[in-house]
Amino acid sequence: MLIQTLSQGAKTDEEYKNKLISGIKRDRVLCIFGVVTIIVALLWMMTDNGVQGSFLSGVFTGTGAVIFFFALKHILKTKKMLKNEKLLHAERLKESDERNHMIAEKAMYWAGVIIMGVCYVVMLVSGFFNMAVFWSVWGMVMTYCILAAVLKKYFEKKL
Amino acid sequence: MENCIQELRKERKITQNELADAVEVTRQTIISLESGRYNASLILAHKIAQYFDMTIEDIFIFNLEEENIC
Repeated sequence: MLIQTLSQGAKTDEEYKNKLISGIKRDRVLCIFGVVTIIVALLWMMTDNGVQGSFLSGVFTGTGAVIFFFALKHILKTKKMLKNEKLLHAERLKESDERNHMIAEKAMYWAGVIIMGVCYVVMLVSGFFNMAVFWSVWGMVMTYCILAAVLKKYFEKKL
Repeated sequence: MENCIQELRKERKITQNELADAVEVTRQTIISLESGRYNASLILAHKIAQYFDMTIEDIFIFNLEEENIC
């Protein structure tokens, strides 16, 4: 939802309608992706792969189901909007509203900062107990720092 | 930044919904603008000024002291 808010809003209802129609195609792909994930997880569940495999196949089934149902829900919502001009207009305003954009940007910024703060503490503490966790979290912190620096340079040139 | 959107709106008997629709934002944005919790972008300020047929400076009161400029 946050990403949807941050995406470039349409200037007219017609433009928004076209955006929604192309969004249905993306959601159909997501539906197929969700079903494929469930099938793969179910097939994997049938093979004997221990406790970890059983746990992971459950996780994959759940993930696939979530992707499938959210994409399906979005398709139904979009179809409802395409039939109702008033609803479509209200939704377009909600998506292109500058205050909503600012809220989404702030929410994402603070979520990133808090996650990195937590990761940093976890990295320091985990070093005493488990090196696998330490290196995983270290990788995340480093990726975040590099990405932040690269994106800063990119936006400095773009804006 | 202070503004007189609420006064102008009431003076002209315009609802928040009507103003929001005219300047293409949500009603919540108008509420936030009127209460001073949110500062409009230059584009939105321009749209509001055009809607009321006034200048931006007439609607948005720029307080130099508040903005730490002087």
